Amino acid sequence: MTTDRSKRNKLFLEKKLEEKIERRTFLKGLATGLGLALFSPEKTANALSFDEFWQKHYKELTPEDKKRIFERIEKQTLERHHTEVKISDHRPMDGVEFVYCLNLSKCNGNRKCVEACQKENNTDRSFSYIKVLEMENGGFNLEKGTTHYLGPVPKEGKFYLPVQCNQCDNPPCVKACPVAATWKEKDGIVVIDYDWCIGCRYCQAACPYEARHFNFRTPEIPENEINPDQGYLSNRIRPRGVVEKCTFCLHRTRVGKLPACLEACPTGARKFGNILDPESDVAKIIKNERVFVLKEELNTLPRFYYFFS
Amino acid sequence: MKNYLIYWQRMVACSLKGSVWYRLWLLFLTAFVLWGAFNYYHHLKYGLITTNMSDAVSWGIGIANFVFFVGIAATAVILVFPAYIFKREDLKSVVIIGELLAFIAIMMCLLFIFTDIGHPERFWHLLPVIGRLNIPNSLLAWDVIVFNVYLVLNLHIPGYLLYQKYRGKPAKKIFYLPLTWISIFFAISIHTVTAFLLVGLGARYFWNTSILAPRFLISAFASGPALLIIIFLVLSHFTTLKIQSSIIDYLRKVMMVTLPVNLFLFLCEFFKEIYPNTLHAASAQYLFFGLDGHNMLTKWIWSAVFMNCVATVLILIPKWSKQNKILIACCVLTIVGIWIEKGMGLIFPGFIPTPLGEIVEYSPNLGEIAVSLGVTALGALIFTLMTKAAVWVLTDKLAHNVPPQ
Amino acid sequence: MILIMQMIKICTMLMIVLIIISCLFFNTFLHAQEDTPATVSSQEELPNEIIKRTPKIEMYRCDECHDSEESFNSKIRPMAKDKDHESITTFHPEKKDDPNFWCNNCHASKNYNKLILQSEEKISFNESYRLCGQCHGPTLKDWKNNIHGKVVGGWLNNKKQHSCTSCHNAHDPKMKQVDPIPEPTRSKKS
Repeated sequence: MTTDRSKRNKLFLEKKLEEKIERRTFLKGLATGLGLALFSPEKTANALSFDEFWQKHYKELTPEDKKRIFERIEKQTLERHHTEVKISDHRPMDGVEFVYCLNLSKCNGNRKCVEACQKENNTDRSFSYIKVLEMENGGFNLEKGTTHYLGPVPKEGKFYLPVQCNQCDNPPCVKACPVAATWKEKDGIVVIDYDWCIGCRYCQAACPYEARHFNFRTPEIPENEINPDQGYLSNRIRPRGVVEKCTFCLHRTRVGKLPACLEACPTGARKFGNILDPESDVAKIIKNERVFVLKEELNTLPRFYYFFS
Repeated sequence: MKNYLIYWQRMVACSLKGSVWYRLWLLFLTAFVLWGAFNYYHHLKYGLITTNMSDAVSWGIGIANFVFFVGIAATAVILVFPAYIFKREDLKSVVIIGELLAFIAIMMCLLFIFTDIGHPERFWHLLPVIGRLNIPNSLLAWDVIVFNVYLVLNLHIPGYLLYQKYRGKPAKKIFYLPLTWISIFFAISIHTVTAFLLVGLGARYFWNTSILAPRFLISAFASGPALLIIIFLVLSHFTTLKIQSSIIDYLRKVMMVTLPVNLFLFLCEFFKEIYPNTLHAASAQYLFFGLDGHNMLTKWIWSAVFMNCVATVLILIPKWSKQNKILIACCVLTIVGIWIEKGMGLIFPGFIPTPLGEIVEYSPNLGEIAVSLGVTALGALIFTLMTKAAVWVLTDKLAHNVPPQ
Repeated sequence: MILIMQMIKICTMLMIVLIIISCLFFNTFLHAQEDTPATVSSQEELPNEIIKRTPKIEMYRCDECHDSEESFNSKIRPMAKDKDHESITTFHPEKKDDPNFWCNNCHASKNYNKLILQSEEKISFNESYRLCGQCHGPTLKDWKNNIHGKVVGGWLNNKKQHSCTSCHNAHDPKMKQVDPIPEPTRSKKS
């Protein structure tokens, strides 16, 4: 239904555009001009194409659209970053809802997860989806915590609180987005269509966990560190001017693998699994340990649990 | 149709003519527009990295100005309401100016947003049918709707009235009166929805307060009349348009109510935050007294409070406020005071400290100031041109039966 | 008649004594049951595959030196402080000065490449959890539920579980302070 509608719209638009040559040239010029301005410095190679400009919302893409778009992205990545990558689009599995558990007694603040996340998700190296707060024992006032601690860790009288996207079941960011460029998928992961986001940053203001990052600049990634296994909705190299965040490594987790931060953690503090399976590790932890979530009073219903054990 | 085009042609020609000072004023504004445009091009080319905004303070001076000018846009209702509902004839003669101001303010608001987003070329994602507006969930989507409706209303109503006046025909009520009533509703809506946009964020305790919408409206009804008074005094000084003293008097009386009420609401908010002194008041602590040695905004907010207090005292003593010079001083104080209070006094501290408790201060850099000034100058420029033509139409210097000079 | 009475008396006394003795025995038996450390007898009851340790122990295998009868100690003595044992001078730091704590508490006395349980069962290095679990019962239980420790390979299948000595230094199991990876600079300026 929606596909039909958008197809019709597109046809209509294309017809309209062809009717008036001047207008079409103007629009194309506008699009290309903006594209040039937006994706310079390497002029034409990075120009915004007509196809890109009118690209539809992820949910309206047909399989052929996806194939074409993925090929384009792969080509662009090869041109811009000189790396061959594969864009995948794994859909949520049936009967799976992801949950993350983190044992605060074990986390020692070594930031291995931070580093692994950057590499896995092709993020700009100036930030990470994961922020590790060094907190004072004897309180949970986040303002007393700091992310700027220096080694060696763990320090006496401190504990370490890694924070990343909580994949809320009642996500304020999704509610905020004016163009529905971000939404919650069936397995609980909140994703962003980077090609639909207009970069208004309202979702960033809405997030209580500071999970969202805005690409103020084109992401700078060392070419030899680009992860070629890229998900369209997760770790593909983001354009500038859009918002991004942790997706529980959905290009990994939707094929049964574990998130990169978990694999990198040397303390075993991180636990991940399917909450709908009562035999899963996370289900057992939530049943047996006294777990809690951050900022429960905001009723965001996070899928990211903390516990001390 | 042909007549309409001629009308436009004559309007444009008229708006560009004028004394040397008038042209210098236009040139002055154009310079700022160009400066802003150049800096905006810079933003587009290198990305918003060129600004001082960060993940911590992700909205800057653009949004601050946006919030202020939404207030100016809503002000038209101060003229429209009594003119059409209470049928005050003196106001009817100038209500067009107020509606044009609203139109310009809305246009500026949209430009402030447009220049602030990461992908302005994707604006069509906000359009109905071809885009995907997140209605009813997103307050920003609602904002887009009410803004555009208000924009169209405030373009249509004065446009229609002026055209009829130009043609020398009486305006048909059916073509504008119902829309005027609707525009009253939307004037309140734009500012309420903008307030809700901030109030609706549970994560930002500083904004998550039910008093915000009333505060917005009251401060709008203080700063708006102040701006209108200045505009009317300027118009009566430089043009032949008769601004009756009853109009200035009416606006002065509006300010006599709204300025003290604005201070009172400010006090309510101040008390609610500071007295219980919970952890949720960290932003207010930062704003008013500084937090952990960071106090970039304290001097600004206290100077704004000082200005608002002085303005309130000036306006409340009729002996003083009836003198135009003191009234103008009072208006300037009001505008600057409320601009600080609503802009940097409200938007910036909402981000400081961040939800995870980090303090990253923000002050706009020259490029951002240039873009904001450019948008403001563009607004002022278009407003000047439109008002010039409108005044000529209103004073019958420009009509279908008057040959071009 | 009196004799019969006497007999009954004696029998009753005997029975009481017997009951008391059996009670005592039973008691000790019960205690013995409680004292028995939690052990894992076989791999079958573990949900996940355990990652093998032996392939990772290539350098300085114990049996490179301790290969003959005379190279094993028969009596408790402090660890030789020579350069060969530099890295294993302290095991379980809190037990460092305990004279009864020495190599053969954990290593099989004549085969240092095997671990030995309290039950005298010799196990491989791959089953360190059985040894450690003898004292650290609750941790073993958490480990089996993957609350303690680390499972890699996937959340759905192909789960592989690290055993104790994958992360803990067998001779100094308490976790040490480490230097963290530097924080990515928050400043957005390039």
